[in-house]
Amino acid sequence: MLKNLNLKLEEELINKIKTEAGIRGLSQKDLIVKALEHFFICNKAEEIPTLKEIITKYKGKCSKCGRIVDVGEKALYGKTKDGSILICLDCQIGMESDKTLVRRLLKLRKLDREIKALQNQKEQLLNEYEELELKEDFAKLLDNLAGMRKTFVDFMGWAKYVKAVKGTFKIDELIEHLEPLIEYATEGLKIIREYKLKQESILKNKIKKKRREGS
Amino acid sequence: MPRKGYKVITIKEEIFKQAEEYVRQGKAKSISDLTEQAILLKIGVDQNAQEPKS
Repeated sequence: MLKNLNLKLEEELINKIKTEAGIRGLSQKDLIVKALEHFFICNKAEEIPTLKEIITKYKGKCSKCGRIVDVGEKALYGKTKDGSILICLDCQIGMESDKTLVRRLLKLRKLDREIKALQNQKEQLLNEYEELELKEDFAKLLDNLAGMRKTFVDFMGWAKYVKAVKGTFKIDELIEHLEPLIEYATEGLKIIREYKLKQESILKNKIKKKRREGS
Repeated sequence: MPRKGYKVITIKEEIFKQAEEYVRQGKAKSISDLTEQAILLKIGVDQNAQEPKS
């Protein structure tokens, strides 16, 4: 259906329309209609925000389905006059009309999930490994302490025997018996220091991880 | 005040409705005002497209 449009325009603009229509070989009506159509298309394009793909730094909510988008997830983000828009990857796939692209995106989504699961598994195994390493160090430490106690006990036995039989110690003999004790003690100290360092580094990593998760 | 002239054209109802909607939403004062904006935009865009790049 057609409709009459009564326009009240400045004469200067009417003259411009006449000139432009002449140059383009169009009727004045066609030029106005084309201009209006062009205007509506341009305005629509301005209303649709340009979305860019991001990896989220903060928790958000999908503007389309309302799902919570976690930190580190891929999503589309754009700004409009009314605020920002966040679209989750699932909705992004749903919006796509190209079937090949949809299949690829779904495959990508599946691979992303598998990577995430493997990363979680890796982290779990790493934690278990660290715990086992600590347990091993602790066992070494216990062995060392037990060895040190045995050497002390042996030393005491020897000292008591020497005192009972000879009544006195010779310095050389004392040094000979004290040397393994010092070696044991040094070894024990080394293990304790390593144990302490490992525990400190594990604690630091845990704090760093918590901070990263919190931000 | 610039002198005003009148123009009557026949257009598709679809375009007319779109123009009315724009005025209703307050994006233009009147259909005449909207047409003025549209013409100036069309002429400006086309002239930019025709200008050779330096």
